[in-house]
Amino acid sequence: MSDARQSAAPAPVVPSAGIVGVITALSERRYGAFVLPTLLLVLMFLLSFAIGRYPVSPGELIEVFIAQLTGIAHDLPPVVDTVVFQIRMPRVVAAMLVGAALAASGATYQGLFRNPLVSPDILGVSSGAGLGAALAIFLSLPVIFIQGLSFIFGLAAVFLVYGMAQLVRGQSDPTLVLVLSGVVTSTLLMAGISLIKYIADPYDQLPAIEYWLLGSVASVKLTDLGTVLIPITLGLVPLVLLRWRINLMSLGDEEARALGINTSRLRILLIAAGTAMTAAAVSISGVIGFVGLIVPHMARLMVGPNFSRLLPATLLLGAGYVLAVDNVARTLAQVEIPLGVLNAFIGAPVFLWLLTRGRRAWQ
Amino acid sequence: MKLEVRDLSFGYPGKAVGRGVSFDLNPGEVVALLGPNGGGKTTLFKTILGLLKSQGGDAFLDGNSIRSMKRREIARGIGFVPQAYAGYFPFTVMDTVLMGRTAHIGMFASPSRSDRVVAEEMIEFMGIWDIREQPYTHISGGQRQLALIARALAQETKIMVMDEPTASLDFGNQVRVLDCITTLASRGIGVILSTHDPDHAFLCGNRVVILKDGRVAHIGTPEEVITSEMLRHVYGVDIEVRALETMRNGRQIHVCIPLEVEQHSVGSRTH
Repeated sequence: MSDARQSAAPAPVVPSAGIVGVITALSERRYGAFVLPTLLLVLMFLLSFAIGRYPVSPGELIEVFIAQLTGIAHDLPPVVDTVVFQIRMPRVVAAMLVGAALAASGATYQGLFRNPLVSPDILGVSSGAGLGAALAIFLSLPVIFIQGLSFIFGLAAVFLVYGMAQLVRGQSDPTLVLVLSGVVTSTLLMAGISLIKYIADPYDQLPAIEYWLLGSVASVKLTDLGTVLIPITLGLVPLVLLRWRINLMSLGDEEARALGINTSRLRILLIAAGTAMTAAAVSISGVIGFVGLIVPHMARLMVGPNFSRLLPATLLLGAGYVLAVDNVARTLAQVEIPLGVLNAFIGAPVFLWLLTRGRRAWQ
Repeated sequence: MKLEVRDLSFGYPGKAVGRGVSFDLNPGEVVALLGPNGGGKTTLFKTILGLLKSQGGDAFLDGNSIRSMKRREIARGIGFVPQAYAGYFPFTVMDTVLMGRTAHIGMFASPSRSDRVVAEEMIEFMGIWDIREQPYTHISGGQRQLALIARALAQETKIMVMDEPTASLDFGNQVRVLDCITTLASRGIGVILSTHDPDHAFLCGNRVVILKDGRVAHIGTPEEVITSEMLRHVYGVDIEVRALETMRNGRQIHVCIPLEVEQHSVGSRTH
């Protein structure tokens, strides 16, 4: 909005006087809407270091952080260092990475497929990753191969779906054909997973496969993070660069083309980006559903549908949300609850609540 | 800029819709495309825009074949107003109109201040300034249509293709859109629109193309082409075409009066 135009237009309507009015006005401006997601993330970040079986007080937390940054030794027991940096740090960073990656690719896919019910695994990336992991566990391969195979199988599944859709697309709506190929391929891959589970060793391999499929960031190592950071960043770059054009994909293929967009090129780029991010996230965390579906909805309620604003909001909210759920997962009970399971327990009611009150997010 | 359609055949794979369509659209000219439902008007438009592959013949923009042009080049030459639809995500009217700037915006860029100025100008031109910050999904069908016209105007093209731009509008907005079309033509823009109302062709068209069963049935000035014989032939109903003089300035205008709508008296209806 140009300032000149703004002053020429009738005076803006102030919703109501006082602090409420200021907050409302602020939240309708450009950056106000980002305050809440940012606060949530910062709060969850600090909280997740503090809580757990060995509680770390906020004072101690600040002390070890300062010590780490400045190199000056602190006088706390060394176990605090171990808990904060060796045990909790990888887990916290993994939860944030996974959440941000799943949410951002979910938001991209929802725009791309013009459907708010789409999640990042619509094109079979999760079932592909699951099959890769199950295969690696079945073949008793080392942990690094479980991650590697799940990443590669995740990419391969989407590649297969895309190829299939190209073969059969004809003149029909390209996104519809993609979704249908995705559904078919997912079913096929799930059958593959079931088959491996059926023939796997029931005392050793089967629980490992099941546990992987339930999703968790409990066993993530610091070195794993470095490996997945690359595909996640690579996937994020095109989303950031093309953030405005992504909006046009939600108009549908013909209209976006009439407005000057090479939709087939943009579509394949966005699918590649979303797949790289999701496959990387799933390869370290296992299947964590729902995040890519509900977080974009929450973000859209806060900042609107424009992807230039939606992307940063989903990244913040996705990271904060998975971190929050993981914090609950590891503190709620004596035994840790799998992140994927708890996420569904928390996510489903949240989503229902969104449905009842937040229709404007997509209509 | 001139649009030439030469012996164009169009349709969907495995289903031919029309063939042999030829006409020109010169700068400052308004061509009205009339014809029955299912006659192929929308399909023809999509083929001219290169959204559907032509099944023979070609469309040329200043002598360049549409087939050989990139999407961005076409979008800089031809603006397209589709029939209004509901929309999927609640983009504001402003955001929607800004999307018309796509062909002028770099691959990795977002709309600049000057893009916003153009969008605001078009929003004001279409008379939807008051709803510019409202979600496209929450405004009426007529307002959506006006927003889509503003979006096509924001493309700043020399050719405009409008698919039934008056279809979902109330009477006042219909007149406003027709006036907007003649204004565009006076600025040297060539406009081709499809419509179901022959009166609209009389009001703003320099030329009329009648498309029936995918072929050009008639072509010429509205006064030459739109006659009761033609209307009976194309639509199968009796219509009287009358020349009237307006009271205000004595300008002569043709209007169509349907004759088959019988006037039942109130009394006879009660039986």
